[in-house]
Amino acid sequence: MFPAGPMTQYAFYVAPSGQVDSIQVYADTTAGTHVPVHLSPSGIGVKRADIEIQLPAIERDPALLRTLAVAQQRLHPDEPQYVRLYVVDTVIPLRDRVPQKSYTKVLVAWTVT
Amino acid sequence: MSAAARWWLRPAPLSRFAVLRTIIYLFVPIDLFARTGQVIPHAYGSPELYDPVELLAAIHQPAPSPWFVQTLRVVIIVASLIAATGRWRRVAGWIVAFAFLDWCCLAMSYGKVDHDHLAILVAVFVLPTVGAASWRSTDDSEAAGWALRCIEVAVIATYFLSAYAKFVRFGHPHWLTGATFAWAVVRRGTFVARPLLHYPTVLLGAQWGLFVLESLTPLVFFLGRRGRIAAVVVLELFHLTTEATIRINFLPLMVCLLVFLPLEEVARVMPSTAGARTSRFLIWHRHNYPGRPSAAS
Repeated sequence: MFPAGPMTQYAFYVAPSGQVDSIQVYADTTAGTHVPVHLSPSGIGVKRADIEIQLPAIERDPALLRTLAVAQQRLHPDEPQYVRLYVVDTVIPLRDRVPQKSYTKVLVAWTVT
Repeated sequence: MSAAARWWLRPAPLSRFAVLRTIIYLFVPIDLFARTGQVIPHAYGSPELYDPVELLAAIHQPAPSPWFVQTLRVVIIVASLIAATGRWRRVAGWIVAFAFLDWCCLAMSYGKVDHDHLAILVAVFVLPTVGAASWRSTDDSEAAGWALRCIEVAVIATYFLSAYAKFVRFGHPHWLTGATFAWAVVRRGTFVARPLLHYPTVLLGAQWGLFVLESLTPLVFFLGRRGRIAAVVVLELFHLTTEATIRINFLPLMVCLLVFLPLEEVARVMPSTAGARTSRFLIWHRHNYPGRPSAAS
C-alpha cells in the first residue's frame, strides 16, 4: 500500500530473450499534423508508465484516452488540438539480453469525441 | 527499558534533528515540482484515468479539480517554509504532513506508483512530534532520537523492500538472471548507458550488484560513524548513477539519506561561518564608511 508499497519499479522479471515494450501515444491534430503526445508533467501530465499500467483498461475502453485531449485543451489551448489518438507499442526483441531490430504496432486508435 | 525500546529511543542530538528538519522542509516545495509535478496537469485532464491509491479510495476522495491542487500546492509551500524556520513547528508541521501526504497520493493515483516517497512521508509525520530544537541546541533528546530512528528505518525499508519485491513478491529468484537492466536501458538509457547494451554481462553484473546493495542496507544500523558516512556516499553515488544512466532520480530518498550523517557538525560550523562573515562585513563597513550605521549593526 502506498507509500510503503508496492515497490514494483524494476522488480519484474524480463526474460533474456524476451522483449521490451515501449508505449507512446501519438495524435492527429486540428493542424493536420501527426505528433507525439508529450507524456510528462510539462506536457499533459499523464506519464508513459501511467498509460502502460492502465493499458488493459484502455484497450477495453479507448474512451479513457479522452483525458489526454481534455488536458491538451486546458493546458495548451494555443496549440493544435488532438482529434484522433493512437497508442503505439514499439517492440524491441531481446536475444541474450542484446536488443534486436524493433518494430511498432498500433494497439488502440480512438477518435476524440 | 527493553532493548527494543532503547534502540528506538536512543537519545540523539537535537541539533542534528533541527538541521535535518530544515533540509526536509526546504526540500518539500522542491519535490512538488521535481518529483510530483504531474499532480497539477493531471487535474486539468478529465478523470477517466484517475485510479486512487488505497488511502484515497478509503476516504472516497474524488479526482481533484485544478483549483484544489493549486490551493493544495500553495498550502504545502507556505506551511513548509514556515516549518523550516522552526516557528509554529507543530501547526505548520502537521499541515505539511497531511497536505503533502494527500499530494503524493494524488501523484500516484493515475497508474504509476513510485517508491521513493516512503521515507520523506514518514519524516513529515514524525518531525512535528519533537518539541523545541534549534541548530544551536547542545542537548540530546529521546524524542529527537525516536524521530530520527523512524526516518532511518523508512530509508532502509525502501531499499530492503525493493530487494524483497524483486526476489520474492514480483520478480522471484530468477529476477537475478533476467534482463531487467537491459530492459531499463533500452527504454530509458542515456548516451552514458546505451553503449552497455553491447556488453550484456556488465548489465547482468550491475543487476546483481543492485540486489546485493539493497539487501545489505540494514547493515547500516550496525556501522559506526565513518561506516555510516561511507554508506551514505555509496548510496548517493548509486542514485547519481541511475540518474546519469536511465534518468531515474530518487531525490526525496537522497535527501532523507542524510539522516545517517552527523549533521550536528554542520550546525556547529554554519553559525560560526555566518558569524565570521558578519564580523568581516562589519570591519569592512566601519573601515569604508566610518560613522555610518550598517544594516547588520
